[in-house]
Amino acid sequence: MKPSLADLPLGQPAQIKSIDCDRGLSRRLMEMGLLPGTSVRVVRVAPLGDPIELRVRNYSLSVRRAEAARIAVNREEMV
Amino acid sequence: MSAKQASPQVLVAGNPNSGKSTLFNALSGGSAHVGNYPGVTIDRTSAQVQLGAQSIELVDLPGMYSLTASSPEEQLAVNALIEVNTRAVICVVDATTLQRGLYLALQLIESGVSVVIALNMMDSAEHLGLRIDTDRLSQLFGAPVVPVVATKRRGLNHLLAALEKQLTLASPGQRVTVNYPRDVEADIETLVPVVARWRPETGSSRLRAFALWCLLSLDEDRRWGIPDEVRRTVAAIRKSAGDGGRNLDLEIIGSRYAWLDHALGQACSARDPRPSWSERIDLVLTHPVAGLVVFAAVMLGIFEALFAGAEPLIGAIESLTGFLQVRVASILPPGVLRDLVVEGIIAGVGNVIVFAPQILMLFLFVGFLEDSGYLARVAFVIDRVMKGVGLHGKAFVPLLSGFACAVPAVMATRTIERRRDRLVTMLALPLMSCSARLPVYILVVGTVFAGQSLGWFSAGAVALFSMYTLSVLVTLAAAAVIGRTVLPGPAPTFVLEMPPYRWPSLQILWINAWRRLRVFLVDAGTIILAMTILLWALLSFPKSAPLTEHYATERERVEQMAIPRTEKAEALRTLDSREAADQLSNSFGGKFGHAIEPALRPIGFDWQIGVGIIGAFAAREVFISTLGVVFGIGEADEENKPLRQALRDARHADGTPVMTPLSGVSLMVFFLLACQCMSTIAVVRRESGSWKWPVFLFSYMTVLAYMASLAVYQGGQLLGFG
Repeated sequence: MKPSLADLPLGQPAQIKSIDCDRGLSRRLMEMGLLPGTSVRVVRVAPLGDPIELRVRNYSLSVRRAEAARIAVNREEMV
Repeated sequence: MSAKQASPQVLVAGNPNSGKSTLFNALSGGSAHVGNYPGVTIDRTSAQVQLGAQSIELVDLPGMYSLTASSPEEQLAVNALIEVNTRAVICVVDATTLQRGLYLALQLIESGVSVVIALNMMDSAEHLGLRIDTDRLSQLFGAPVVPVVATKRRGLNHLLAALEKQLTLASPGQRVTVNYPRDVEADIETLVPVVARWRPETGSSRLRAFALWCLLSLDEDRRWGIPDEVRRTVAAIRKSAGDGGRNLDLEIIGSRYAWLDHALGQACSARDPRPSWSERIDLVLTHPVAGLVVFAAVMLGIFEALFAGAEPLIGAIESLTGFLQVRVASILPPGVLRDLVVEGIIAGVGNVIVFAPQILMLFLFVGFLEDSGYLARVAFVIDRVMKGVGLHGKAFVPLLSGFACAVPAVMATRTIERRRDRLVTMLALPLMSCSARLPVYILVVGTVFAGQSLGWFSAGAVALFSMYTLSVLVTLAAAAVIGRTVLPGPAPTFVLEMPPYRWPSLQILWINAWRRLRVFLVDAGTIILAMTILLWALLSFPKSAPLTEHYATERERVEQMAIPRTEKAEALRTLDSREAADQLSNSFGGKFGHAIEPALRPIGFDWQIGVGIIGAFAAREVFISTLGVVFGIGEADEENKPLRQALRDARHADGTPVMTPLSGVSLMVFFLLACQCMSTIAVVRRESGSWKWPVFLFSYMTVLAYMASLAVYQGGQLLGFG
């Protein structure tokens, strides 16, 4: 089981490894700057548990857990 | 249209939340014209702007992240780019999210169009410790880069000067060379000759850009008028790339971001970013407890304002309409012309203007929520709930507004990006129990449940509470069903930028709300006026000459009676009311009511209720005044005692009472579910761009209402009620 964005603890920095959504959504996420190697972290979870808010390339983006689960990541060392 | 096409067009493009529309409004001075793109329901906002000696048409494109065109809005933007009279694009980039904004600018420049980059919100960027070398950026992009602060109108003159200079250039001469992998270059080379056969007149650099666009953006399931040969070639290239283990999309997008990262490394420097106050606000506003409390408070506030706050204004408009009707009626001689003017035209214009307060208010609120950044948080907080019925989190505010009035609520669906999600929302939300249904409930409850109680509660309160609960359940169920059957499609994905909180410009909020209202008054207003006149004619014609004659002689008889003057006046008024009732019964509408009575009996209504329902198509509360006329009472409101008594006394041909608690519940359920509102029809027509959707809306709601009332009435009788 590859670690995905949906499994990341709050605030844990990580690097995107791959995006495995359908083509349209993968393309949209990539065009919004979520590419392999991009740093990302989960900054917030909605009050009802879904969606989650990401911080990436100096802006905030929210995605549902179902989609976050298809974005594989590598954890970065906490500094 | 042809005259307009002659003037050169400058597009204003940019990411959502980049301040694009603010800049557009600042440049156009609020003198924009809202039109419609042919065939789609997207507003085309444009303005004529004087630039030195020449006049240009500035067009505000829908917000977009790329030219990939994954929505009709982005498709329009792409179409506008390749129009012949498009001379340049102002690409608005939020300086605080440079990379993502410049990704769009890069794509625009690659496509060969002349680009001026407006670096917006420079003040916020500086505040965040971001330093941007605009001259270096300009060199790297080969395009003018002008720092601006649109909300404070800073840098606008420089921007216009750069644009004017750009327009004098024969060819933009802008060239950005992104290093694509060799495989991608080979794919482009394969595709260029195919594209060239389709567009032989295009220059080579634009052909290359177009081939690149096709490789990244052509989807298998979308046609967009691209020839089959091009589609087949693209599919073949993509397949062989996939077979070779390549991800073509990633190669293209990745190369562009690599170029951007490299360029920005030369032109920007950032101090350690400080935690912004925006993030601190979010600690509260999206907090599991505090967030929900604030959310509930904001929604309640909006709801209260729409419900109660608009009431005095609506009342004032209605009084003014009434006053005008009386005045004009006293000036014009009696006859068809007077009735047409008073009951058709003035009533119709009143029916349109009466929506103005709620529309303005809702758009000021929604605009404030949107521009401040809170609307994205609303969607974030409530998405979990909306997801369950296949709606987008942004559908919440329109749905809630539906409790007040479906007309502004339908207009508010335009904050939802995808057309499909927008349609599902606007087809479900007229089931929310709007404020115009309330008088009908009150009349029915007062008639059939007066003084009764159910346990601790009065029967009326239980009935009202049940109606509102039922309306929420049915609305959500309808959204789920429509989204699975009539408008199937992938469930809305929720990829939503959470923009930093910003204080909205009140002037722009006002400009936008006013613009929306104007569109409503003109487009939906014409339909509402026409329908009011049609309804008036249905309920007024044909005039029966024998009836007129009969009442004329009756009146004469009363005049000659030796009774006190007050009694005489009373008797004459009764005659007037009775004549109105008889004429109505004889009208097309009345005859129609009689004709459909066999269909109404199984749900517990008679022809008189039927005529009331027909009249209620003007607006649900008109049901009551129509019943007032039908029962020969004259003017009546929902608290009117004679009307309640008349309803209680009404009997079917077999002598059984018409209004029983059971038929009362059936009537309320019917009003809850039926689309008894021409204004909703008109506004759905305006917002969906075709008659198909309002016709579908009216049909499904009417069938649903009839079936539900049938189930209530027949089921109730079987169970021994009524």
